[in-house]
Amino acid sequence: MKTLSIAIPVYNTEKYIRRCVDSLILKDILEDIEIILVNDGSKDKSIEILNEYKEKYPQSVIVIDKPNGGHGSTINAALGIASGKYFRVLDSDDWFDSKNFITFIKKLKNENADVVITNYKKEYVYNGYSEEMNWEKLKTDVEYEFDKFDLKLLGKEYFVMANSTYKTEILRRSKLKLLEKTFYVDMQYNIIPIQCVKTFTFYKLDIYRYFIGRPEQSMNLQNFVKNRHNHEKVIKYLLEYYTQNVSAFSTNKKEYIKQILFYMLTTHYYIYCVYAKKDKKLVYSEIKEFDDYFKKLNPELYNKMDKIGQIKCNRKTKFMFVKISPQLFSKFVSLCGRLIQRKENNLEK
Amino acid sequence: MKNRILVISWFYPPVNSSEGLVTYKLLKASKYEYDVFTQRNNALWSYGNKDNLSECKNVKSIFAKAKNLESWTKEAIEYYKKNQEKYDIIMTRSMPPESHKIGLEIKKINPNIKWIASFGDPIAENPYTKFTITYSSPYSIKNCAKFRGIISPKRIIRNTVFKIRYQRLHRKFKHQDVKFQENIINNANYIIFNSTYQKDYMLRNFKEEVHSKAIILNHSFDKTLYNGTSKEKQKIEMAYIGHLDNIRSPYILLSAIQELNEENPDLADKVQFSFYGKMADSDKLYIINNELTDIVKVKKPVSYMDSLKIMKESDWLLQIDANLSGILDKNIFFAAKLADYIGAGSKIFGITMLEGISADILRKLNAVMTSFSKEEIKNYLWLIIYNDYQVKLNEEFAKEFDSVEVAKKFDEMVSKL
Repeated sequence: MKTLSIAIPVYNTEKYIRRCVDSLILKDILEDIEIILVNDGSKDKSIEILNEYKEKYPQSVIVIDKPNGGHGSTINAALGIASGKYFRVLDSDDWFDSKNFITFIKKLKNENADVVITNYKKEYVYNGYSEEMNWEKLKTDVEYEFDKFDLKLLGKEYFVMANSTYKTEILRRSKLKLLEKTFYVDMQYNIIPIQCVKTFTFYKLDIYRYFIGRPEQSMNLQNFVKNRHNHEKVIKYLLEYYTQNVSAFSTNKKEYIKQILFYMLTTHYYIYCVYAKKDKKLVYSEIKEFDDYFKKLNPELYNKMDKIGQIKCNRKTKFMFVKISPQLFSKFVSLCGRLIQRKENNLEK
Repeated sequence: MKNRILVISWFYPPVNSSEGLVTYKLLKASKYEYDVFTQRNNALWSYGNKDNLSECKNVKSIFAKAKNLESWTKEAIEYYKKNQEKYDIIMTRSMPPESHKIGLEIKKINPNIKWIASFGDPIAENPYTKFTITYSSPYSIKNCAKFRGIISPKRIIRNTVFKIRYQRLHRKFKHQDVKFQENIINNANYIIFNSTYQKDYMLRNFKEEVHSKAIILNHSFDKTLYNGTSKEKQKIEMAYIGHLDNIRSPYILLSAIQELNEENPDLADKVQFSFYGKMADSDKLYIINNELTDIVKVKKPVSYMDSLKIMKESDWLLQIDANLSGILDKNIFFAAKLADYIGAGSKIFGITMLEGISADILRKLNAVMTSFSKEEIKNYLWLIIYNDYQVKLNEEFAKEFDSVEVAKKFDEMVSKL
């Protein structure tokens, strides 16, 4: 059995795919990994490059060539055939640090935790800047029980594609099936499997390199605005999932998922505040409809969102779209978070 | 068509500048005959004039007596006036742009002459020079030693006036350059660019009819010029040949090497990086301060023929471009040495912008192409040094840079004149 299956979704990335796959073709561990390259109906020459790797490394490289179905469909396809004990996703314009990846695989061979998390870096290649995304409070090589550990150890972070390696069996047992032809499905990946996770561990290894090629890519607000219906689709899916399953979640899992949803919802309302500058009427009907849906679906979570000043204010003013600068807004959110935390601590006392 | 074509180029062998060598390789492989009006008194911005490059049977050099550009320009125009009956086609090659100034003058003297204007870098709005245009006002707050000076209204007014004057002057020069370049493009019968990126940038404000005058000619290599062979070595040898400065800086590569060195104490036994040519003092200092002198060697500039030998003998050749992000989305500069690297057949490790001419070439060639990311560079270096990473160059694509192939395209254009 291979130690790790790596799913690489490929769509029109002929310019970057070599960098991605080259970082995995490592003589010390090649036989321990399975590289699943999923061509999602690319229109460029990506498939030729993928087949080149398959021909050269048939023992470790699998190519799936399928019609376009979006990022989620590629992960679904890879998960369907993955034979590794563990599974992780690597986007085709990103890459792994090869040296650390070798150490990672050697450790992973003897691992049994449901999830292994690691550090990663965001690479702003246009200006050479590198941002470290490190877990500061977690202890390395300790097996944490998800239902019992102190959530504060995660800080404001959570398990994302770039930092987590799941047991393949956990992903399958959670019935993870990502939405097709939809953006932001990584949020599904970050939430759905948690229900089956019993243990996790942290390796202080810096593996994933998240590629940011253009200055606008990091902000991505315009993309959020453009794809807001996709964002809404994913949120609705996850809200329904949470509402239906909340009674089955342990306290930790409930809080953990709620934290991610909270983040997503804040972003969602904020997208509308940005978009409102352009088309108030349309935006108003869209966000009002979503807000009504949300209120009906999960009043508890809905009311909790009122703790975010911007959302409360917009709800009270029937979405007059109070505009706050992103920096101020983020400071405000963080302040609200701290206040909520303090209030809850006081209540506990 | 008359027998010979007149080429006007400040640089031409024996002065071995990159510009002159581009012309030399092209003319040598062409089927036509040329008189090259040039000079051999000024070897600034060149590999020097020590090389004895093989004589081209089809090219005769006419050396001006001039030692500076101004008198060279006058001499060239005089030469044409005296010999105008000999030529019905001229070709001018920049840099420096004065050769095109001569082309414009010749076109005035004889409007029927066919003129091919061959561009090196853009003359107007050169993105590279945008980095270097800075002004330092003598009345700036930085030059004030006393508090009284800082708050002095006299100083503030003087500083403002200085700024306004400077900006006005800068605008004037910019306008002059734009007009000059427009003049060249409008009057030439053919315009040679070295890439579509350069063409698109320089012709972005021109009508479609002007675009039809443009021809793309790759920089080329001459396979007959190479000597030396790849040898078995104890270490991997990676070489950079050519000019580096604060803009085209190896800093990101050096910082990747530094980090790699920290993580791998045996690095000095495995690899050696050699930089032949000028390098900014700050980068040299970085090498010393970070104790990289065992791994990174900065060597004197070498002659063109020696550089070709080094290219042939090195395991990997380093290509470093300027990071023009923020000014340009795509790199428009095709370094002539990249063509020579391709001709050498050694593996190439390129650091360049994600989009642009170098990135296109490196990708099609199956070379290593990295962006300005320390992590990306470091990872590929690690793969090469510790994981025996190999590339197989696309030989079919490499042929497109053979001077014989490039000259065929050039000759075809000339035959239409």
